[in-house]
Amino acid sequence: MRKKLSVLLMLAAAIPLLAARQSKENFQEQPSIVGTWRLLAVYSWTDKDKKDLNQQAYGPHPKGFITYTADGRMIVIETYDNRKPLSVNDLVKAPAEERAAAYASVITYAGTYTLKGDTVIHHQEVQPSPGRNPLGNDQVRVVTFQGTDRVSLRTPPVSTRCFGSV
Amino acid sequence: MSSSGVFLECRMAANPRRPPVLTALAMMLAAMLLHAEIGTAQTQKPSLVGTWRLVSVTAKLDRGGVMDDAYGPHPHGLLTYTANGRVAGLEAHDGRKPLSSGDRESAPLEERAEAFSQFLSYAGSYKVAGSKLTHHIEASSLENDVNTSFIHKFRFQGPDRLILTTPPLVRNGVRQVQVKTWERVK
Repeated sequence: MRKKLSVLLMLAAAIPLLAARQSKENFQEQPSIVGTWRLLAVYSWTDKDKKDLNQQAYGPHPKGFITYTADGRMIVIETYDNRKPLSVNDLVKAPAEERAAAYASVITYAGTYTLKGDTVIHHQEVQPSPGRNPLGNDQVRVVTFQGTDRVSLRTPPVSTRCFGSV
Repeated sequence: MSSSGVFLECRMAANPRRPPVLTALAMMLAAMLLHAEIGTAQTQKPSLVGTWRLVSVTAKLDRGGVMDDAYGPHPHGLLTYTANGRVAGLEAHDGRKPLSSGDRESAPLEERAEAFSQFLSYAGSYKVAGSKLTHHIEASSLENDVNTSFIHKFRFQGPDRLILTTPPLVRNGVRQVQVKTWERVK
């Protein structure tokens, strides 16, 4: 039996600028993904009726930003709520348990993106660990705008148990 | 078997309401500043705005000495500055191993710990003043850096090469500054 997990990220435009605002007025029907978005919430569920909906998949106050540039680049970082600073402020010397926990609570990658219908495909170029993602280097997200300054990105269902030995 | 759907409802986290007069004043001021900036220096200096790929990292140690290839001979990294003052970067060492099994939560502890030591990811805002470039970190793989400002020195080599010098930091117990060379992604 495989459980499938969907994750929905809610993002809001970070610090909308005058210039962005003005140009948006002309294109109100076609909100643009270009810009920087702040993570608001992460929902996850495995049940098709969302009976097990978790509205705080990364905790109540996750942090995160995703940036899409006009020339096709993207970069994202998401961190769980309530991460603790390392007791030793050193990426290498901090205790292994703390580093492992910190590793488990960050999602990040950078690369390029392409828009296709209502989906955006992230083509990862840099990730924390090579081959970390079992789904490969392309990440597909269903994009849903709510107005011009809020967007949700839905992952495809991924099995929580599909990670095999490399 | 199961499938998925969309669930949409969330609270607005940004944009506290301001009196319209203040907003109008702020917009006028912003417009004037934008105008002034376009009118002056912008043409002769290369711009940070865009995406940069990491070429090399050199560590200058406090105790003396230089460590070339502090991230290995072929480091990985991408750094993006936007025109409206946002920055995000992801830097990783050369020669990292894939996790032997599991994912970021379930891989063996030692492997996760090692993997964590070999990359840094951050996002926030930035400001330029002369040769100083300040990153204000709002999210980071290194939680200690969150809500902290880092003043880098920066210079360009031609329009497409950027050299950033970090403020002092401690890596593997050694106090150092890191000089990072970036090349513009075209």
